[in-house]
Amino acid sequence: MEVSSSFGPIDIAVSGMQAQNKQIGAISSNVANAQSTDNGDGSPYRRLEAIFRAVGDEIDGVTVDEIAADMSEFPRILKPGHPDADDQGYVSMPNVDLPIEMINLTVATRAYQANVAVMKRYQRMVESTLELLR
Amino acid sequence: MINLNANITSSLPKIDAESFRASKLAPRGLGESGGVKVDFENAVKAAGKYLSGVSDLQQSSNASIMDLLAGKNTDITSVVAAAAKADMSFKLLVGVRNQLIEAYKQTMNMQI
Amino acid sequence: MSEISSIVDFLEAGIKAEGLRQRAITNNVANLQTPGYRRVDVRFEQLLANALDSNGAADLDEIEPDVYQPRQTPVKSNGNDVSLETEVGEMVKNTLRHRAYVGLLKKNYQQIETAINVR
Repeated sequence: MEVSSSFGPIDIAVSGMQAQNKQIGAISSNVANAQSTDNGDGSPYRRLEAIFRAVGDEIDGVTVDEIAADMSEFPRILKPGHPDADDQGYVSMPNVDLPIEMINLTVATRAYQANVAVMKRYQRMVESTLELLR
Repeated sequence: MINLNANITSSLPKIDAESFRASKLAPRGLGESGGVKVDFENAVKAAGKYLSGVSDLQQSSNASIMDLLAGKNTDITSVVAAAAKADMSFKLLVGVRNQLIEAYKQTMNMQI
Repeated sequence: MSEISSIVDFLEAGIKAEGLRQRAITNNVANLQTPGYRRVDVRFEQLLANALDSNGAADLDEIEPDVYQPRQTPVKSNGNDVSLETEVGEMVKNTLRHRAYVGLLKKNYQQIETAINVR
């Protein structure tokens, strides 16, 4: 993508929107699985996070390479009757912190809106150029 | 990005200053016999020179429109600027032509 | 004169292609959740560029905008590769291009009008 293109900023804003979309997807998965003690392989659900990466060295937008798992420790709570409890009655819970997820959700939503704002503003800019043809 | 220069003369075809000055229907011509005739001729010649400049701008504007349509140049700003430039110079040419014709008519209707 | 009429014809063809592309985008958005649907796009600029390269002045009768599947966007789990963001972006681009073409066409007609108006 050349920098001189009139549509570069639109493509970049779209890439930003798509990236934030994936981030929101990861957050919703985290929120939905905040209590999932079994991931299918015996360990609790691991918090996911979208990893953003700039495309190329030039002005080319953003992409989400991978949805990485948060490797921090699982909190343990005492729940002796739980089927996933260990010998001492402790259950490993997902490393999801709901308040943090909600903050991240706000950040991602605002970032998405910012990308939309950039696109709208750029659209108005080009339209004002086209006014020259009136 | 294109340089959007506010100075309008820079975006219009150049006419050499000498012929333009000569083209002015200055009152001094009235005193000398035949002075008006020579100056008027120069004005028409200058307009003719300007015409080719307008034509060049028109052609480059069309070429940039074709590039835009063919996806070779996606910079709308430069295309619009070229089109606006060509249009402005064309309007100026028409204005100059109208003024010349007006001047000619006035001269022809002059009571001697 | 042939110069002016040809540029008008090309702009008209461009506007027509934009109309078709708008339909393609609308179709993509309508099929946002259709399993196995691949997004479609319109090829026109490339065809025009190819026609121009070969003989300088392209013959518009030979250029017919065609609908194709780019198959470049990542496919979702249901075999569908439509992204709403991409479609919105494409629509904005298409609208701007359309407006530019219409504006340029208008300018061309205005110029002819100015030339005709002998006062």
